[in-house]
Amino acid sequence: MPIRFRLNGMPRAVEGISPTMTVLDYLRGVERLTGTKEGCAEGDCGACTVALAKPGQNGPEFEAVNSCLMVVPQLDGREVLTIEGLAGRDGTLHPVQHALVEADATQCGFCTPGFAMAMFAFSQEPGGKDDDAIHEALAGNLCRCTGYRPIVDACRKLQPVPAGCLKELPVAGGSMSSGANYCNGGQIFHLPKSVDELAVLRAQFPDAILLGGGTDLGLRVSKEREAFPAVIWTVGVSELKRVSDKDGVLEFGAAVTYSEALPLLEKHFPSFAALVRRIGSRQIRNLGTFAGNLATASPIGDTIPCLMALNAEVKLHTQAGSRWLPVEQFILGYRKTAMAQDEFIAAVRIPLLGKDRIFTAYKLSKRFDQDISTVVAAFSLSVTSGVVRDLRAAFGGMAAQAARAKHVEAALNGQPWSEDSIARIDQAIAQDFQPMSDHRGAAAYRLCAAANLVRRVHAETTSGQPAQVWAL
Amino acid sequence: MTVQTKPPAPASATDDWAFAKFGIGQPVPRTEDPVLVQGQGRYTDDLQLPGQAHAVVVRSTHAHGVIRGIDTAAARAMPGVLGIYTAADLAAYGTLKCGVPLKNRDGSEMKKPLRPALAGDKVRFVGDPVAIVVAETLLQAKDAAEAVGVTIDPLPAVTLASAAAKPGAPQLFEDVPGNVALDYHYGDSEKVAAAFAQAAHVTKLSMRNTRLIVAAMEPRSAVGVYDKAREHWTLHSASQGVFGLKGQLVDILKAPPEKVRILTGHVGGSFGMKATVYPEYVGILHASRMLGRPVKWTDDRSGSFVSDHHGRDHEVTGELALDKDGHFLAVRLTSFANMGAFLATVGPLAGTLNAVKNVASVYRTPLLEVSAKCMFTNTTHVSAYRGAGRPEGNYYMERLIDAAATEMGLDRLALRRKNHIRPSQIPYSASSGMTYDSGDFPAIFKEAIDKADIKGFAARKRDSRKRGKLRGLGIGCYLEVTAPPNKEMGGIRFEPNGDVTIITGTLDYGQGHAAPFAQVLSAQLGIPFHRIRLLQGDSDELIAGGGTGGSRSITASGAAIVEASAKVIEQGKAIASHVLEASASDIEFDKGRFVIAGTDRAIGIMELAEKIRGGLQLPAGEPQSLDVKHASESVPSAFPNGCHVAEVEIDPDTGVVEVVTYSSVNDFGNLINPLLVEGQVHGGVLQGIGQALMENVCYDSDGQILSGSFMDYAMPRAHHAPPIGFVSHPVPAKTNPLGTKGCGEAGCAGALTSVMNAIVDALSVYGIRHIDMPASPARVWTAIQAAKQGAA
Ligand SMILES: Cc1cc2nc3c(=O)[nH]c(=O)nc-3n(C[C@H](O)[C@H](O)[C@H](O)COP(=O)(O)OP(=O)(O)OC[C@H]3O[C@@H](n4cnc5c(N)ncnc54)[C@H](O)[C@@H]3O)c2cc1C
Ligand code: FES
Ligand code: FES
Repeated sequence: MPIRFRLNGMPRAVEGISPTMTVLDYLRGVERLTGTKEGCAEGDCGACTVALAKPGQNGPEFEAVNSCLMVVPQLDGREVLTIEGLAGRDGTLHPVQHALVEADATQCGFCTPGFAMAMFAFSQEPGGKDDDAIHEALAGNLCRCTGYRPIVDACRKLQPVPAGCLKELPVAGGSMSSGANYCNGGQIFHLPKSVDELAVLRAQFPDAILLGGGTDLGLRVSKEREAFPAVIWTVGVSELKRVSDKDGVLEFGAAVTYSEALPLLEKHFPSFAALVRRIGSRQIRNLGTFAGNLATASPIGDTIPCLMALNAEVKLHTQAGSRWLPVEQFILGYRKTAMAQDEFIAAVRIPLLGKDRIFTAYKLSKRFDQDISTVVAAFSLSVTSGVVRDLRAAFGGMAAQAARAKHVEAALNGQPWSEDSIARIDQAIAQDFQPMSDHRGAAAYRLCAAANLVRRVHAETTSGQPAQVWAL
Repeated sequence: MTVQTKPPAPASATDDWAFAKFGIGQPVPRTEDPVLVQGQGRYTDDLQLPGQAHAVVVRSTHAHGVIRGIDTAAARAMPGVLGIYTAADLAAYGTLKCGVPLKNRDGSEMKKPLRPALAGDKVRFVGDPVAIVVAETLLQAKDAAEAVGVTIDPLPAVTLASAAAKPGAPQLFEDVPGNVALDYHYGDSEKVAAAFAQAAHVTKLSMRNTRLIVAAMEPRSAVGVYDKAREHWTLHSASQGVFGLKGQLVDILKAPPEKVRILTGHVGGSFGMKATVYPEYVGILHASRMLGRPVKWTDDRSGSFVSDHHGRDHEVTGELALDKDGHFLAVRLTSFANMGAFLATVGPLAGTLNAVKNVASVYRTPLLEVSAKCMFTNTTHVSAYRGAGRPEGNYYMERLIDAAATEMGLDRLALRRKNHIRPSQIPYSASSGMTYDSGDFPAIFKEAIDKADIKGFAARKRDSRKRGKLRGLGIGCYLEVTAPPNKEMGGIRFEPNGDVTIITGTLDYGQGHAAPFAQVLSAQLGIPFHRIRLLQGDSDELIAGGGTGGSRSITASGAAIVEASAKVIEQGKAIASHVLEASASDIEFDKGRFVIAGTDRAIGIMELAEKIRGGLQLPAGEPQSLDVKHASESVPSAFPNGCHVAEVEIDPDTGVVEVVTYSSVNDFGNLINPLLVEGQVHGGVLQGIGQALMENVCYDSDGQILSGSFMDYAMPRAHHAPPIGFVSHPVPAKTNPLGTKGCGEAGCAGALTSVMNAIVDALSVYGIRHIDMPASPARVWTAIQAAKQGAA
């Protein structure tokens, strides 16, 4: 069965290509749509950005994604828009393109199609276009020529206007979805639609690669040219796309992307939301999932310390049923998890904060945006009558795996939330972690910065004014 | 493939005759934009020639070692493989060369080891190309490249220039003892030493000028085509000017000039990097000759990080001698400049001659001495990156001035004012040997200080402190010496369809030359703006061409167009004399029309061109067309200058630095198109901020690059860009017809200086005197900790 989707409004049923061909290679090589550019093939530069539509409440909603990290079957059933589809067929520029021209926001033009597509997706979103929102929307796109300012200026004026190619086309009828799997040249790509189908496939093909958003795995395809013989893709499973917020628990299905999770995170854990907004870029967050971050179990997976501090749990599913495991027990070591061969992650749930509980998370990196962390810290605690209760402190980037800082917790729990108590944490941190030195930061930097982050929670929670922080 | 850029037709036919709208000095929008924003740019990798095969380069994974063998048997047997080439296959070609004509301090020749396109005996850096694999598809070529077995006996590696100079350091070349390529010296050591001996105060700083990745967003790409029947080579490739690239290739291929053609389409950024021949180009041209098919090669980003030349990388000790009142007496730079494993075409220039020319800046500094050891190391070769010594020279000077002010207890503004060259002293003979023809440095300084509201800084600093932040203000004056003179082509061709083509050898890799060049031509000849095209990327069309680089394009091509226009007018007068039946000497040219003096009888230049196309009969021995192929005599270097002011906020807990305000006043002489000039400044400033705050190439002790991807090499992103204030304060250059000065690199020079001075200013509360680039969180934080401990 072919892979079906629509490209710039035209239906496509693709066969005869490898299921691990990237969307970027497909567009440039097979379709010869060369407006989409390759600047890195690693998800870092955004030159390959295209927009993907999914059904929304008021018609299709577009989101920007990195075509270099996606494989073609991930387009299943979707409307894909490239730079070639943005202007009208008569060459009338789309307002996004107009804005770029008017602001003098292109020089060499190589980054421009990627920016235009990121901006197009951004223009379709509700919400203000202030500098913070613009910076967030553009964080996944590199430009070496313009200094960005003109591009930022162009973003201020964006209005939601449909893409030129879609305005003129009646929406084609007929199914756009592909079959249960797609095969080519000995490779197979499974597209299960239900948890049960997924569980059966998982049991049947324990060696098949589970693919979520592909923002970790995509690198293996685009950089290492790995041609996985068998892939099971979770994103077509509707149950795994569910989000729920009831009975004091927030639950995200495994295929829920960061972007989809953000509104609820924002509501309940603004600090977590702020941190998630710094994972990769908009393009990455439109694909990446908590499940992928957890299963990768990297020491610098940003969500893991947060989920640990929040006492979150992972739902592991097999044909036989499912079990819930605290994130702390799920992560066993450097890229090691407690997931069995036939299991997959079905959901992640986070208990909401009780009354008077505080949650704060920090990420230190070389850059604000699109950077791997040097240190991540997450804290949940209550302070009653000036005394610290139930502090859960977890750190990433401090050891081979993300972990709770038990000595820090012990040093502070039951103690007055005071500068005197805080004075003890440098020693406690050093007992908890022996970080390594690398080009992201020396061990001493990591230790001291981690301690300073504890000081920062203290300063923020006690004064409400981070003003004194610099003098600590 | 050549890209010709033509402006869109104006809304009304009269528009383009309105000189006001498209005239010199007008912010005419770039004519490239409608193409580029639709993804219709034609970059080299977008080409797909019939029969094209794909090449992948096998690179050394060792920084230093002896090649014991290259086993290609397994790879040759793989599907789709067409050919695999190693150094032995390319032995007949010439080597890549360094074109810098400098000598050692003792007068002897510098060492220029030959660089064959592929390494044969030894590898000298991670990324050194050892073989080229060509296959039917790119995937097949990649798979086969992985199967090539290269056996290397590793040798110890050295990556830092000063370390390469130490006794016992690994030696890269047998005939280059001590790894010294060039031991450069400028200045009168004795006089300088005497000035230092007499000085009331000497300020001394050691400064590291970070190694950078150029990181043009378009990776390098090329398609080589050999036509056997014609024994002719065509290279499709990015460049900064096809004429220069062709010259280099003619030399390497040992082919007659008429047998080599370079075609450059759109170029996705270059900043100095794509100007020269790279080994891959030789490899694919050879492969095309062997296979009889076009061969394409495109780098992947990991390849770019090691195979594109790097920028900067100097270790410098700077010294400034002052009298008791703060007058500068002498400046001395003593440095190591890292060349990498080979000398790039202009590799040694930045740390030597360009440091000399630019360190003098806008100040009266009677004496100047520069000693630079250009060292071979086991790293990617280093060459021009936006400024190529210009930002560096200015950076050293501005840091020294701030440090001197602090040490002597002088006001840093007053110290600069005291030493500024005054307008009355111009033309000024600088100690660098340059003669500044124009400039009003005190006025620009004053305007910059006012624009930046320096008076309000104390209040802003208090406000930052309330928010827990340290605030600092930095000033960066700069003066750059643009690229040395070069002949440039000014070709003007009246096309059959009525368009007029400018043919010139500079090359736009993002600057947007088409509009300003058309503005110049339109102003000279009254040709409607929308009828003018620019042709720049076809070496067959050029009779000269200095290329783009060193901020020279508008000055060089501008002068060439002006001179060529004068020739068009001369020819036009002769031809018009036949049409108007008057003597050529009675014909005047005025606003696009040839007029018989004192009458109302005239013919417009476009009308005249049309008549010629229509078969106008002209006497033999007289001009037969308006077309001109002119090579201008070179115009001298110009001296763009200005003053940038930056304010930063630093979070002392984490060391995070943010540039919060940025303003600049600049003298680029006459602006042909202010819109584009501002764009150049923006881009340059952000590259400067990138170097100041985050960019840094790291190697481990084995010579492996640690910052080899955009994840590990920090590039500035949108949120790092502060609003950038831009003011033009033109003092027209006197040495070229348009009075332009060049703006392409100035942003970097202003930003390195102002941002780093601002950071040190903010950190001065801890007694910190200097911090090296990049002022990354870890480095700033470490400096704060060390200072606190020292104070405790
Ligand atoms: C440019 C870039 C920037 C990034 N920045 C960050 C960052 O700032 N912080 C950060 O933490 N990470 C970052 N990442 C890594 C990545 O985006 C995250 O780890 C993301 O959460 C992975 O999710 P995914 O759905 O894309 O995973 P995938 O790539 O689809 O899968 C990752 C792993 O999870 C497994 N997996 C996926 N779904 C399931 C499931 N349901 N059950 C069991 N196993 C499963 C896969 O088999 C694979 O082993 C970045 C990646 C890129 C390319
Ligand atoms: S090509 Fe750079 S992000 Fe995809
Ligand atoms: S315009 Fe050149 S990279 Fe953005």
